[in-house]
Amino acid sequence: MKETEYMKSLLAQIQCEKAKGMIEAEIRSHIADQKAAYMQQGMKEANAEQEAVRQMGDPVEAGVRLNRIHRPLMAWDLLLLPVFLSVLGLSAQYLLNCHYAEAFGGMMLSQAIVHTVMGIVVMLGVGFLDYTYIGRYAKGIYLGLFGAAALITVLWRFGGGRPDSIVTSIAMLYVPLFGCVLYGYRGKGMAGIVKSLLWLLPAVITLVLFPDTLFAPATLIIMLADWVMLSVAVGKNWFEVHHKWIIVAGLWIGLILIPFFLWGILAAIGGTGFQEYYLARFDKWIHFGALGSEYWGENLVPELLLQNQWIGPNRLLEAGQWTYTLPLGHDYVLAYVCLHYGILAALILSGFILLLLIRGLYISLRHKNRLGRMMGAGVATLLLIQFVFYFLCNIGILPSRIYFPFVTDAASGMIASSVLLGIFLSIYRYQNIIGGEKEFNRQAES
Amino acid sequence: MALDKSLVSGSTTMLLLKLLCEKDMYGYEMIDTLKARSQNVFELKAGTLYPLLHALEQGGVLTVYEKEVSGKLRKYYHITRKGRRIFKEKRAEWDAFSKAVATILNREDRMAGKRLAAGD
Repeated sequence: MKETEYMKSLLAQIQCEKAKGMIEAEIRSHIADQKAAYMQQGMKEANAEQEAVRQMGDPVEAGVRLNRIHRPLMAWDLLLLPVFLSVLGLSAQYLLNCHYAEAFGGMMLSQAIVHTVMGIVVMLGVGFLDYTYIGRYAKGIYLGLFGAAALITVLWRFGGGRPDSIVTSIAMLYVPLFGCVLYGYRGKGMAGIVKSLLWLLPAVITLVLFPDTLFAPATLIIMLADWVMLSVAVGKNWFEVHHKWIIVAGLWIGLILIPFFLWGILAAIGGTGFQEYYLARFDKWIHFGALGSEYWGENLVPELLLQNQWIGPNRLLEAGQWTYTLPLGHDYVLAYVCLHYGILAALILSGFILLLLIRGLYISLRHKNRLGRMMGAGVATLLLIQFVFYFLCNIGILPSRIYFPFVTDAASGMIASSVLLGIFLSIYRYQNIIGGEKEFNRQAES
Repeated sequence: MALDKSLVSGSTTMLLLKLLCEKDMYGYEMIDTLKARSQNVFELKAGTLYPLLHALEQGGVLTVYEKEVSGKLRKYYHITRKGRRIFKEKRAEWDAFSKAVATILNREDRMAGKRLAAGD
């Protein structure tokens, strides 16, 4: 049998087209080595090829066995958990809306269902997309999204609307793309690190300049996730630099200094007005509970933590002594669940969300390709930090509010989160199909 | 000497892991090394080797990377920490098994020798 016939028979057994190239290259290389060895022993080329192919064994048997391994996989748990969480979140929002209509401002259930279905479709769509394509065109997609955010900002402003939530959602999508950018700068030394930092500029502009008001939690979450990814890339010696841990330490010291730098800029732009505003907010935050203000955070901590029960409604609520008007219910669904159904229900809901994110992180970290690992770990880091912020806002420790999928109904947020969750699906789906990588400094990375 | 396939198949994974404990290798190199070290007793078919290597990689026992050597891009296999642990377990199983087989065979040989000496 000739090499071409052998390869044809073997590859005919493999169903996944994407896996064929990787398998073919390896087997052909093996035949070439064997053939060269026979020729060195004095065999003629035609005979050497025939003998090398004979040594390979049965192509059909090998092809069938390889086909069993190289198949696209579906992470059913990562698909069903978000669906389950969406149903749980929607039900909670609907029921809470019946009890606290004033806070929730009337909920459009049909609209929320449409957003959820849209999210699931987007998640599946991204899940079926080979994530390495995203990696290949990451910079173009990044700049395209930045352009879209700029356009939306201009159009919305003309229309008198606020682009804040849409541009913030777009900025969340920069995170896995930033992972791809880091991957592209491997082995580029300090220049690679500096260029990677420059790629954060579109994110900073989108988060700081495009919205009407600087939304500090979203900016902080996205920057933290990017910083974690950059630190991991430096720590794993992707850039092949000396003193990598000193650079990592420098990055974090720099991140801590940025707010002080921004403080100066705020003072320069808006005089002392901005500073006074933020100082007043900070003062309210550290004196929560003492001022009896209208902020959810200030009221929540003493009432929620002291008067809530493990199972069942808050004691004050039960006794008919609940006098607070709680604003913006949609951003505090977890707190309302705690208030109305008890601490246990809120912990169970949080547990399912954490389960999903930890499972996503686990799948990503086990992935053999570093591009997939960085993208998935970046997404998991972003969503984990976002959830921690959401949780802290809901128990009143952080004086703010933030979107989180499943428990907040918002179209743009849902689509962005679905794209991010879809990346987990894609990483899992192609784990046995995406080939190995070119040599890298294995010892340095380990 | 041609060996019974079933005799070899159970120990193939252990032998491959042993080679990879020493250094990273590509497929052809593994077959060639096994053949040389066993003095042509182990002639593993590539059609058996690659599905096995790919399955071990899928199971997190091995990782792969590509490296260019003399202008040729080769796929190297690297044993993971999990792989080293599995190798140790397989090695211990094999040692216990081979010791038991040797004990039985030696006993049979000794008894046959005694019978011969006694003139049975």
